[in-house]
Amino acid sequence: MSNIRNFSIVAHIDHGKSTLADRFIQHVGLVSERAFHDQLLDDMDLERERGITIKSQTVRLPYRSRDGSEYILNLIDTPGHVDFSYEVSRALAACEGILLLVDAAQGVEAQTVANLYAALEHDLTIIPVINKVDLDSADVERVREEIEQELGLDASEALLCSAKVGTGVEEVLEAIVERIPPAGRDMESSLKALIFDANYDPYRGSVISCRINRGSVRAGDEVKLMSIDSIHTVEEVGIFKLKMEEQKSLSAGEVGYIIAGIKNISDTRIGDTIILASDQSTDPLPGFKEVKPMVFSSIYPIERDTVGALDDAISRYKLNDASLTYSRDSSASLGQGFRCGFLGLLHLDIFQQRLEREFDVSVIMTAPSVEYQFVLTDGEEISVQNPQYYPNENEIERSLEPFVRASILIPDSYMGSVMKLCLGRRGVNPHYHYVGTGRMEVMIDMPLAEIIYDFYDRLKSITRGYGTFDYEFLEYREENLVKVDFLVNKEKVDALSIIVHRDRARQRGLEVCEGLKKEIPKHMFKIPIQAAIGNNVIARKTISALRKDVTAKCYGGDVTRKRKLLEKQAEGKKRMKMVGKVMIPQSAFVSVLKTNED
Amino acid sequence: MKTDDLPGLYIHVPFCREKCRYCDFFSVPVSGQLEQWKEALLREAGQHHDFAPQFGSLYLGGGTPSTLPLDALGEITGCMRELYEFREDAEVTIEINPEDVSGDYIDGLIDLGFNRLSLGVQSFRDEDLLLLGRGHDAARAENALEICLESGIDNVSIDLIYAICYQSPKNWQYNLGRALSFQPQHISCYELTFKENTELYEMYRNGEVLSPPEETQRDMFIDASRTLTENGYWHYEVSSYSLGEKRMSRHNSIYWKHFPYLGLGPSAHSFDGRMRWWNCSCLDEYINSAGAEKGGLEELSFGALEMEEIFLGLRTAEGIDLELAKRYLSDEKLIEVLIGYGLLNIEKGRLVPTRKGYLFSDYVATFFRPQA
Repeated sequence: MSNIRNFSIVAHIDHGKSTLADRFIQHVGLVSERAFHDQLLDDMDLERERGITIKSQTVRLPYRSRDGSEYILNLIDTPGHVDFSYEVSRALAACEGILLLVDAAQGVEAQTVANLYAALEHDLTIIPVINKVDLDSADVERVREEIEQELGLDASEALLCSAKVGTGVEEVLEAIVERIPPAGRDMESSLKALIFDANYDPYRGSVISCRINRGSVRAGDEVKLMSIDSIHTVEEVGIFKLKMEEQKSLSAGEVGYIIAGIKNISDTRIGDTIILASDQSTDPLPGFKEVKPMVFSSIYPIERDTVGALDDAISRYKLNDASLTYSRDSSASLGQGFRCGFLGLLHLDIFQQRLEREFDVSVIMTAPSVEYQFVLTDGEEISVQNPQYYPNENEIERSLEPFVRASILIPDSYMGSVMKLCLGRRGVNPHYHYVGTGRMEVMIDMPLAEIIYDFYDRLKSITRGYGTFDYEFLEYREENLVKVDFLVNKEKVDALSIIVHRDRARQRGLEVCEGLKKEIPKHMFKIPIQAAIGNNVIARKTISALRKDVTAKCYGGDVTRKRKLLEKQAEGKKRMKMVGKVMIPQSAFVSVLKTNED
Repeated sequence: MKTDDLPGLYIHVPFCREKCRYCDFFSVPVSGQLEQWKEALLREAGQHHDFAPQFGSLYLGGGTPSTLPLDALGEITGCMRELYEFREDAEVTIEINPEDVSGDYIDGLIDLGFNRLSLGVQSFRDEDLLLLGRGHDAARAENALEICLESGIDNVSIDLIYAICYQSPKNWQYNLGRALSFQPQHISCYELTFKENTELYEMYRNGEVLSPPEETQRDMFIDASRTLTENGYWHYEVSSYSLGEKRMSRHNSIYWKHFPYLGLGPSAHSFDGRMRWWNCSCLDEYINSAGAEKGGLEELSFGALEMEEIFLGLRTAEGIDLELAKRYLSDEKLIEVLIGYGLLNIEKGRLVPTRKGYLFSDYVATFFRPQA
């Protein structure tokens, strides 16, 4: 029987996934106690800061079980946010089982449920693990009940552990060996490998993370990427310990990496199947799909003439994030740039931050938009995901916008305020029911455009962090839409335009004007900020002129302080874009996202 | 503007009879530590005897140097002259407070070689002085100024503060009028700034005092500049006015022109053209280490030096070299923009601030970018 177990840990944010993964690494002796530092798997700064996993990482754990047998446990880490559901599904497709981690104090959350369904879809063995049992607030019995009732699993199979303290970790490892089916080792058939992740090495091209489903692969093999039908020579194969470790070959059941000189970044697609070039098979592994972005934003370099560098950075980023889409775009006010599509706002946010940190480019991103559909008077149907291309008002027969079905889990005491939030965001057709003691699920149809703003933040703050939320695309519905433009110092800044429901136009217009007023620094002159529908101004604010800006004293002891301040300000100015006579900071472009409801 | 191309020597006298509410310069109450401070100062001076072959100015600031008795001052200046070479016509300034002024004291200062007096008047109105926590009233200030001017020293500067909480533009005009009636050779007009760790800052934060609106502060600045220049004063630096070029502060100009200076005493800063360092702001530590214990030190890159030259230069009538300016602007067209705003002018290949330019000198400086 195969001694390989491929598994993944799925959990709600903060339920301790990374900590448990680190405990495994420590337990099997991959790192010494001394070298151990928390959360080894989340190696991007950003993830560490946010405490969530954005990109999946993989690690091979050599494990000697209690009965003395040697096993290879491949832990395939999954991204932990609703925006990354496709990546999660590909990672799960590479596993035979999962650990479903539930926080002993917080219990089952919306995301736990969503993850469970994803795992069930792949027909995986599920091991429920109740983590953080060391907490004072831990309530194991209640959590067991939730596992039975909300997840429909046998709670008597649930394991108890505290990844933080280290108790119960070995029992979990034993359960992986015992309960998760061994990986199939069909080495006779021709190669079939699933790509579930990829990274980019500037010298060697794509480093493809894959699960070998059948056959084997070694350096020198000619392989084919099925979705694009391109052929490459394998340069190196290996496994992930804490670092990459070269192997002679990878064979059925194993998880590892392939380097095949793939320099063209967009060639590596998550979910794609790798076969031998000589194989005439036209039968890829199931599940590959072109991901469909839901949220769009334009991105422009701040420094002039750096659009080439930006192009390069985005395509390198894209290798590691299959769900991003992008194409060339230009704006009258901001010049050459790109229109990008994202799975959601977090995805967008992470994209921007990673571009700046890892690729060292400063960018301006415009306010996100969803994709609208318009039926024109001549019968033509068009899709618009950039407000710049909003059709001529009197040529529009019908406007349609995407609706999603939101599923919100909350303690019942927040029901009133959450309903108020949803209805204020044009939610319709609400249903709700109890999903356990004191917890409710609200299902409501909402325009996607209304939740890509700060809906999730608002929900979190209203429910003091207890609310969770997930959504799925429903359909396009006809609505009364209108484009609102913004004029800064009488000049229209096309990158600020938004498409909104007519009833909300004035309110949103005012909110954006206020946001711009807050973000744009004072200039030597008064700056009027106006929101307009066509030529009709619907809201305005004014940034007053700077009256003075001088330090009274500047003697020997003041020079250093003053210079440092200037250096800091100059750093800030790098993030500003000159539009007409006005310096607009990066932050102003996303102020469109902020609302000021209570 | 006449250029003084020799380094300056600054001595920080850290003693005050009473701390003024607005002041964040380092000082301690007048105490028995005078002797120890003096001894440490002289030791520190000895360590830097090779700082420069010759100095063009000596400046005793504080704190309140006029809290020192004449014999102590004599010891200090004598020692400095022994250790360092001063140019024959060196400017020798001492900051004095009105309450310390007497005819004999001023005569004594002149005997010790001081040829410039900087008198901390701050205001000719009792309300202002009370609020600032000064140790003198208006009458005392006028009397002291009279004594200084009559001493025959011919180079007297006064400090005035404006935008003092409830001070109205009319009140400020009154102060300017009083100042003009005495015709001191130099006037410094500082806008009141609420500095952290001062009593006034706390009062401001607690809402006990207010600051006039920015509009009024701006008007007061312009009032001062107009009134004083109309009366023959030269507005040669953001806060400084002199009766003719000869009476500008040569020592202070060293800071603005980025020439080297040696600072002795606790909290004093030094700059040798490349490095800047400063003493710790703690008298005990200063005394114990004789200034060897530094509060900080930085080596300035060429780019940082030029940035300093730019922002300091833009605070003075001399301005900065146009070519230098262009190198630090991301876009040369910005010069036109700033000229268009009425902030700068080009004069004889130099970029110089206008009156309005002084008022926005921090803003102007932000257009110049440090180079990578």
